[in-house]
Amino acid sequence: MHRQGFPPVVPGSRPLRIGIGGPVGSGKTALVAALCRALAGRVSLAVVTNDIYTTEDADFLRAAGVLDPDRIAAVQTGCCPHTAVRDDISGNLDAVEDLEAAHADLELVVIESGGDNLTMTFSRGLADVQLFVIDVSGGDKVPRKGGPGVTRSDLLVVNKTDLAPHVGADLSVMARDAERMRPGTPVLFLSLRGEPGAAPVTDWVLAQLAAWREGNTVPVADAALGGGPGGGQPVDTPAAAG
Amino acid sequence: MGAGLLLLGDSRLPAGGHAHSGGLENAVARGEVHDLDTLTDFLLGRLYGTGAVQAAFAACAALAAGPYALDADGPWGELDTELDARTPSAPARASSRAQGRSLRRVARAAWPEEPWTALGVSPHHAVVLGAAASRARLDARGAAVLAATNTVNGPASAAVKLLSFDPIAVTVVLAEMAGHCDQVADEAAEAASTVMSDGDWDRLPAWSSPGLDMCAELHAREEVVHFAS
Ligand SMILES: Nc1nc2c(ncn2[C@@H]2O[C@H](COP(=O)(O)OP(=O)(O)OP(=O)(O)O)[C@@H](O)[C@H]2O)c(=O)[nH]1
Ligand SMILES: [Mg+2]
Repeated sequence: MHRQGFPPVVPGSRPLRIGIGGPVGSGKTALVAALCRALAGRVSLAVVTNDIYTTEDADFLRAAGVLDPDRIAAVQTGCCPHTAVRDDISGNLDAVEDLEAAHADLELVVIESGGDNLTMTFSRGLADVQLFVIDVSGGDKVPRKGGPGVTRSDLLVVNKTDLAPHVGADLSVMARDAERMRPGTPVLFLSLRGEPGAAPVTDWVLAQLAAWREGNTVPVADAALGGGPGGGQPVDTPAAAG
Repeated sequence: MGAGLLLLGDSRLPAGGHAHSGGLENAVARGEVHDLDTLTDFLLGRLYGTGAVQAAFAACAALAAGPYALDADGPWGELDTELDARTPSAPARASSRAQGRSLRRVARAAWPEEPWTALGVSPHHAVVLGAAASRARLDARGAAVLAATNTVNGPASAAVKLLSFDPIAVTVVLAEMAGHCDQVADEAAEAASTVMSDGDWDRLPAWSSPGLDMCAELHAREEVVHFAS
């Protein structure tokens, strides 16, 4: 018998939950803020931040004025950011459920993990789809180091391409290694300080949301890598840029 | 007592415990806990104060749930009110209810046929723990052991993270604590069986822990925290 999650996830029956993970400072919050700005007025959304130190992430979103304060919840992770999104997702589930209860019109909940390392992934019990944000300043070797964050996320985002010339990172090497580490699954190159901005990720999120609403989302990485439960349609994603 | 004890006592049980330090983070922040001796004092105070109360309520809840199926008509309202009255700090009550909510999520998944909503909108952790213990085929004393050890294990593991203690040294402290946990559980189970037969709630332990209440209050006012409590 294949055991379902608890409660079993029925695509479209509740707001889509997207996890955004990645190392410290890679640009997760900047991406969340850009998404909020891009989707404002089009999608009713809320954000959960996980932060080992402060509610700084939540404050940043509030200060940026991109989201009403009552649509942002902060979760404490007990010094273990990966535990809070993977091994024991209770605090995050409580936060998500409270936001869903408070906002009947909610369509999308974005969960930002605390900064962690390349092994971090979201539990499928918490995030329906997940993206992993790295940046070029960690060196162009990062994609080939692998780790579940890089290999199993549904979308890999390589951020801060504007810094590539300054840190000697070769984007074509990163693209090639990423393709080898996660064959057939999407990789997007971004600079949140200029072009292309968050537009490619916004398109990807909207594609996931459209599929979810139709009741047929399946995590892209699981489908491509042959893991996880089957029974849905892979979602078309914009081609990798960069 | 069988595997149910290990199931519910496992620190990896995904019921939110990892994010709660039981006041230890604040005690560390104020310099009250800074070495293994002060940690030991903190844990003993916690165990014989709130630990004894939590253990008694978990034991009552195990008896109230009953041995065969979770009794929807048990004295859940009384247990809720009585435990509230013994938890003067509002943040401490909130943390107890938050952990109760998380544990009930797990229990509901594990034993879906039981009427978990009977425990209330947002039940206290000790009450859910006792009810879950009975579903895991533990008796009242087993539930009390779980609650007693839970009051020291969480802060001990938070101390490893916050103060970089040697985890083996902290395990030595917990090993010394085990006998105390058993003693607290014995007394809790006895009190619970008396009270559950005569309904005299006043006879349940009501130890106050003003130091811990202070920790809970100050923690909730803190800008920078790693733990939810
Ligand atoms: N040059 C450049 N800087 C960026 C880019 N994206 C984000 N940053 C900057 O990188 C720093 C970290 O960004 P955050 O969004 O806070 O990173 P984070 O991943 O949320 O960090 P943690 O939550 O602390 O792990 C900030 O100073 C951002 O302004 C980018 O594309 N280019
Ligand atoms: Mg951030």
